[in-house]
This record gives sequence, C-alpha cells and structure tokens, in this order.
Amino acid sequence: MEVVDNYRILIVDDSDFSRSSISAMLDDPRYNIIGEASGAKEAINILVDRKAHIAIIDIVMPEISGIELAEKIKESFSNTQIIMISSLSQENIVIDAISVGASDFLQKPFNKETLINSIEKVISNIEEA
Amino acid sequence: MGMVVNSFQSRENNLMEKIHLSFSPALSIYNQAVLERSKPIQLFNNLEIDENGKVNILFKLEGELTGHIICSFSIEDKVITQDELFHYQSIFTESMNILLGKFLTQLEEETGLMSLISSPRLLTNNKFITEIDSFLHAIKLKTEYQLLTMQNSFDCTIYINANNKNSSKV
Repeated sequence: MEVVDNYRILIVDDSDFSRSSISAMLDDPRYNIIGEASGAKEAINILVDRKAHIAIIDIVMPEISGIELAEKIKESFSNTQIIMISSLSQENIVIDAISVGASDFLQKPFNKETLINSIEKVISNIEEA
Repeated sequence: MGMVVNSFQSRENNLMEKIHLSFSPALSIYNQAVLERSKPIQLFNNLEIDENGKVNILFKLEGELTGHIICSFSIEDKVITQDELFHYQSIFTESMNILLGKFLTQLEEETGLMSLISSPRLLTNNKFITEIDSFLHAIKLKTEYQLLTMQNSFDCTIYINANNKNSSKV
C-alpha cells in the first residue's frame, strides 16, 4: 500500500468538548482532520464526501450507537480503519468493538500519547497492507 | 428472621462501600479540567434539586443496576456569558460521562454487577426529576465533586437512583 504524507481522520462523538479535545491532540501535519461529526448520520455524510483513512468513534451516542456506525462504515467504506472510544470498558464493550472490526479501543479519558500510539499502530497496519 | 434482615443490611452496606470505592477520587479530563471528590457517598431520601442556578444532566442506567443518574452542576453566583455557559456545560457533561463510565467499569470489577449508561440528556425542567423521585428505588445515593477548570470551579452533585436486579452478587 502507498505511504501517504498525511492521514485523513474523522472524529465522531456527541460531545463537543470531546471532539475538540481529540482534535487538539492531533494538531500535527501528519494528521488531517477531515471532519467532526456529532452522530452517525453526519459521519456517513462526511465519509461520502471526503474519504477517511481512520475514524475515531465514540461508542455511546444517541439514536445510532458507535457500534452500529462502525458496522455501516465497514460495509460501505471498508478501507476506513476504526478506533473506538468510550468511558466504559467492560469486557463485553471491548468485545463488541472488536467484533465490528475496530482496530483499537481506548477508554476515556486518554492522553495525547495514548491516542497517537493508537493512531500510529493503525497507520502501520494500513502501510503494511 | 433477624438473620435474614441482618444479611440484607450487610449486603446493602457492602454495595454502598463498593460503590464508594468505585468512584475515582480525582480525574483529569483531557488535561483541560479536573474532577475532585468533595464529599463521599451518602444516602439521600428525596431529590431536592433546584432548577434555578443549576444545570441537570440525566443518564439512564441499564443492566444489573437499573434506574437513573442525575448530575447537577451549580452555576449559582457565577458571572458567565451564555457562550461560556455552553462551554462549561459541555465540559461538565463529558466529565460526568467519563466519571460514570469509569465508575461502572470499576463497579463490575468489584461486584460483578454489569451496567451501562445511556448518552446524556439535558433536563430543562424539574418535571422529570419529580417523576424519578416518585419511583421506588432501593439504592438512593449521592456524592459530590468539584469541577475545576483554568478559569472557574463548580460544585457538582451526582444522584444515583437505582435498583439492583441481582442482589445475590453483592
């Protein structure tokens, strides 16, 4: 797979504060935040318009959960890798995330180093594919 | 009969202790705010939440503990603009989401009780709070935190109204 200069990232979380915090952590030329969505429908609309290498998705969201969104993304945008995030990290939550094809799971709150390590791990999988 | 009652009381006290232990004493929220516990877990009888000067957020609790958690954030005596209020409300809501998520994850490790929270909902009037107060909940516990940001600090109270569907686990 071609190595690119910067990786296109979509952030999906119903919390404005969470989205802006995550976006601030990714303030680096290597990462291009193509959009921030507060829910699943908005996320899909962004992906139709602008493809993403990575989607960071909160699990607990109103109407359509992050898990359901991840399933839809895997169906329609199979090249988009997914990192799931949640304040909950019980075993069944993590298993649900893995079962829908998430490349990683992070429990909130996470720091910049943890997030970057996760993204770089996903990027190395993309580059090796 | 005395032994059954004592056993019930002992299980309830045990659960209360585990709930207290499962709440983090302090949390950093994305290095932009800090939550610090200011009062330990206590019992309460009625949800006396004044809508004046308060922002109230509701989380539904589902699983082996079922019910509602109301998080109340005081803006009384604060001189803040409407934009600042939205900003602080967003920090508060996500802080509570993080605190409660970690609490439920830890509670499952302590007790085996598996429960989840819904996404948060802003309560715009006290009618729903009155309704929740009228439900029969075996567990009525509250705790208090301070939310500290660079510019301000806020008193927060968390009210847990729940029933334990699996009392044999504790």
